Amino acid sequence: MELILKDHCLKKQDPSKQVESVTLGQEDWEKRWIEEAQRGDVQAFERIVLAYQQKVFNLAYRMLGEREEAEDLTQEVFLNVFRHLAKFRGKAQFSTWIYQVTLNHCRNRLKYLKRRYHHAKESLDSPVSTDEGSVDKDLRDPGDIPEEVLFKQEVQLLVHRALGMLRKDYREVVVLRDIQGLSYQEIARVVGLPEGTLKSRLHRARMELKEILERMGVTRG
Amino acid sequence: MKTGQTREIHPKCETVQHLFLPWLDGELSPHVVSDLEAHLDTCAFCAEAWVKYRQTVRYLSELEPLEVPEGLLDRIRARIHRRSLWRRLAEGLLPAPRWVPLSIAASLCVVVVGFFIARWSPWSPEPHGLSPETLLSTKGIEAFPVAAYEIPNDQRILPDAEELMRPLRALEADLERRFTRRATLQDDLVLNLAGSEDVFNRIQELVREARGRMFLMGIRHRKTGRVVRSRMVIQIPLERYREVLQRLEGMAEVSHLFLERDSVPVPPDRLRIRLIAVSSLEETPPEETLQMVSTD
Repeated sequence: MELILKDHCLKKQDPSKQVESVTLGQEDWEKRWIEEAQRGDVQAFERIVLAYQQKVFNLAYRMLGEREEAEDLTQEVFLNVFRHLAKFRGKAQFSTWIYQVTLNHCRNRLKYLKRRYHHAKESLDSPVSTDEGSVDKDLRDPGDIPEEVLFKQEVQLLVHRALGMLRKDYREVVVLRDIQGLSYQEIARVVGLPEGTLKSRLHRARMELKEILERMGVTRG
Repeated sequence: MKTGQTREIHPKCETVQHLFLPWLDGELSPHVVSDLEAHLDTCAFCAEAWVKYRQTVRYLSELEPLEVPEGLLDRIRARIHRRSLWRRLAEGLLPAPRWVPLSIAASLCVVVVGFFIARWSPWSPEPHGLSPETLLSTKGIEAFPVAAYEIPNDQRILPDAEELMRPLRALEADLERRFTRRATLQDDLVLNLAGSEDVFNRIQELVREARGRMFLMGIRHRKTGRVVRSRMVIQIPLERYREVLQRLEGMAEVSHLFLERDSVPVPPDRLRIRLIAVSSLEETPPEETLQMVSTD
């Protein structure tokens, strides 16, 4: 696998390197940047952030359900990774480690959110209070949006909402496998389960999600 | 029959549906697949379940990834930079001898952290309005500030605790059920001093963003003269209270003290953080706040 990364970390330093493309095998660049970052090179760490921020942010978003929460958690994750990077010895894959850190943060945050705000969860389509009064959240005029696109958007919203109704441990495996596309082997390492148990959990999670989507009228027989 | 409806699943159907995952992964041998297909031809229940199972997995895989928020890297970079700066300061100026007992080291840490924040903070080191001594002077104890700094603003503290209760009740009904009025008005958190240099910076930033006020101080027992507790007191505008509390609790080094409130001493390597909601709507004599703050 090859990765081409526009290294905008270098933009500020050297205009001649404004768009430096680095083409390396995944393991090569990862190893090099980790070693540099472990020696205190913040720019190397920033390259790692660039390479992983999308994955971390999206994992957090699907786990927590809210964009703002996900961004806040993503920052926390990378600060923690930065702080503990020296302890990373390369025994596990770096991506596995980052996923583990992210998932642990998500679990803690979900625990907190459950404890505090479960009663205050608002519906996705509940009106929003403003200074001007109450308005509906979805302000788009659907008039010029093709029906197919509207349906797809609606389905995405409902699937996202259905994910939020899944048990936390079910959501984890579904997000890692069916959304993030990790291999069973890697997920097993991230969540610390034998592959057999993981597959069994994933199946149950999908079946439960299927039931939820059925109730929502999303899936059709 | 709809799969969503409750029904007794026939053992054969259960077995078939357990094979959906390896089937979808293409891990089944051809003869098992043809057995399954034969079953689906005769079982509408499993046939429908199979269609919906695949739809579910497809919908998940089609979920569009969200773009990373603009400026995320900059925000991470800024926080790392602040941490690095702090670390250099701390490493250069704070050699911690190994023989110093943990409790003394912790106290020193609090004192020196406060000193540095006071010296290096871009905020004014001069307290505006209420002094920390005033805020924390209560029956049986007196406070001495090791650092005092705040963001100038016009916020005052409510005179009547009940005034604070109303909006907080709406926000935190679960707290109201579990805790007393005082508990609803304030939150105790504990900061692990092992990661203090970074977390102090983050808390400082958080408080500044929320236009709050922050005091770091030791509390000396009036009679014995010993330092009995180190504490950070943070006052946050009511409207930002929930958000700030949530973000504080999200920090790995900060733990919540829901059930330990004022009854369990904080270990010497920890620092208690007291978060108090304040409002800019009312003017308040400081004495009212003292009653909320006092614990000993």
